[in-house]
This record gives sequence, structure tokens and C-alpha cells, in this order.
Amino acid sequence: MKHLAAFLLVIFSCSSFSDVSEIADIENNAYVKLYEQWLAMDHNQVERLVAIRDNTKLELDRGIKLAEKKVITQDELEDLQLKYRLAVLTLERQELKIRESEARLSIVKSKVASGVGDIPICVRPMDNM
Amino acid sequence: MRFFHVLCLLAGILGSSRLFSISLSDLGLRSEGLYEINIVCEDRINPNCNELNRTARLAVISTPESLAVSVGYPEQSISRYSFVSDAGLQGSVYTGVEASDHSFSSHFAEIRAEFLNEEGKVKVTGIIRDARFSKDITFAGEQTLATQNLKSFDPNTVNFSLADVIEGRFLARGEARQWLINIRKKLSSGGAPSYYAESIDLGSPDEKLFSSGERVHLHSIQSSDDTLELLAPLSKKGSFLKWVLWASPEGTSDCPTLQGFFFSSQGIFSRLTLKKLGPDQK
Repeated sequence: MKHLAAFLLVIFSCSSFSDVSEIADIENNAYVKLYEQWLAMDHNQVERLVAIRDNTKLELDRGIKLAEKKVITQDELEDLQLKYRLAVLTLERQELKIRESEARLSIVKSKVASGVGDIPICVRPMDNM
Repeated sequence: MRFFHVLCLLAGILGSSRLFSISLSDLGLRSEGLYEINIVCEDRINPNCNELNRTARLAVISTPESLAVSVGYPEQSISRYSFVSDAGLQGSVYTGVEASDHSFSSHFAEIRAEFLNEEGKVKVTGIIRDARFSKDITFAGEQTLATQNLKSFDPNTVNFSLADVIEGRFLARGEARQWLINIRKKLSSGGAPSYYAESIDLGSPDEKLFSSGERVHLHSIQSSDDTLELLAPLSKKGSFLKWVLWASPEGTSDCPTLQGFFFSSQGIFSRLTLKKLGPDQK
């Protein structure tokens, strides 16, 4: 009989909040989805930027050998070095952008999960650089 | 005789759950919580009307000044409507006006909602009259979260007083996030003690999600020996966040733990478990 009573109490108490799930609310939230998409876009950029960096590294290595054989001038070699450094910097900036996006996503998730939810949509500062 | 005892026990269980004994008079208490509603907007002139035609969430929060009713969508954070009423529930009917910041951009809207007890559930039907639309918006739905049902405090199972332990720092664990909450008694507390609190986001309990450090400031609206209710007004006028806490049977006076829940006008709800932190604990 005690088991039956406990079972009924559990059923009744569960039925009072079974339709509300905090985790589902956060995952389905439009703002969370938007910021997750921004983060995914930032991650997608990394593959392209790594390929560019590797390509400029190959061009620089070939340029160094050509410069040793006096096939290209010192100015042309410096141009290749500059291109490589720029590719490295762009990749580093992208990694910084990803960390910034992760931080923004975390703030959005914390606001939604706290029930506060006043989230302004703004242009990300790094997008304008 | 044995059968009679069984019947008495079942009647007691059903009576204590209160699910089958809702009278219209205690609808005021019972109405607080969250509702899933279907919205129907049939104005064909304004395209903003058609986008309202989906399942929405209605949140009812009782504050000392008013009964706040918000209507929004679970997938969006900011409530579309936040209504306030000084009169509260008149019988089973709530009439509220959109909380306005009195700027030219805020539109005028009113709500008339009727709370009904049907088949052991609190149901709601009503209309929203919005100045932007030529037809009334209609809605109907039922309660999915009754906050009154969640308050499971039983003085016989707790061996410490909430008032003795409530001041201090607690680690509050929700379903998806955890917070550090600091509760202080107000200096101006006269008869009944009152409190203010600050919660700081600490990320997810599994530490996979970062701590954002977001702070929310709350103040007590009702405190007794049993329950503490904390309220924070949100930036949209008429929207609120409410925390409700009570002593947990699992705690002791040396190591007090609390339990409770929070919910907000945005329709977000979470159960909470609070563990008191020592002075040196982060």
C-alpha cells in the first residue's frame, strides 16, 4: 500500500511540471541558435585560413630557394615573407574571434538559462575589421 | 474494514495532492505558473498579426504590487507582451494593460484572461486587444507548471530554521547552469525580515559551458519561517524573475541546504538545489 501511495504521489507531482524543460528551452532559443551559427561560421573560416597559410608558406620556401639562386630579387622575397606573416596573423585573429564568439555564446546561454533573456542583437566588432 | 482503510488512504493522498480539490477561490494562488497557449490572430491587413499564430507561453507571476501576465514564445527570449494589473484576479478573470514605457514606439494592448478549473487542471482562455490590429487576438491553453505544487516544504522533515541559515553565500545548482548567490538581510528590516541577494553565473554544473559572470540582483517580497521569495524586475517593464527557496530535509544546521525553483516572465523555469558555502569557499 505504501508503494502505491508513493507511486501516486510521484505521478501527481511529476505531472505538474512535465511539460516544461529548461534545457530544451535553451537549445531551442532563437538567440542561442543565432550565436551558435556565428560561432560555426567562425570555425568554418579556420580551415580556409589554414590552407592559405600553408600555401603562402610553400611559396615562401620556394621563394627562398629561388632567391639563393638569384632568380628573384630581394624585394620579391620580402613580398612573399610579408604574405606569409599576414596569413599567420589572419589565422591568429580568427582564433581570437572564435574565443570572442564562444564568450558571447556563453553570455547568451547564461541570460536565457537565468530567465533574464534581454539579449540585444549587435554587429560583432571583429566583423568590421 | 480493510477496504475502508484503503479508501481513506487514497482519499487522503488525492486530497493532499490538491489536484482534484481546486476551488475557484484559490485560483489566485493556483494561477501562478506557466501555461502553453495557442494564439489565433486573424487580422489580414497587418502582416505582424499572422506571425503570432503559433504556440506561445503565458507566464503568471504574483508580485506585491500586481499580478504580472506575460505572453511570449519559448524560442524567443523577450516577451512579446507584458501586462500588469493592480486589481489582480477578480474572481476567475484577469484584466491587465501592457506595461508601457510611455514612449511613442510602445504600442497599446490589453488582456482579458479567464482562468478555469477543468478536470483537475487550470486552463486559461481570453483575448488580447492590440491597437495595431483590427481584430482581437484570441488564445486558449492550460497550465504546464503550477508553482504552488512545487513548494514541498514539510516542517516535520527539516531540522533547522530557514531564518537561521538564510544569510550567506550559496552554490545554487539548476538543471543547466549554476550560480553563486549571496543573500543579505536588509538593515531596514522591521517586523518581518527582508533580504536582498545577488546571483552570479558560474557556467554549467559539468563545467562544459563557461562562466559568464552575469549578475542578477533580487530582493525579497515575502519571507516567513518556511519560504523565501526573491524577485528581480527585468528590463522590459512588467517582466519579472522570481526565486522561491525553502529548507531542504537533506540539510542540517551545520551544513544547511535549501531547495526551490525559479521562473520568469520569459517562461524559463528551473528547479534549484542550494548548498551553503563556508567563508573561504569560492
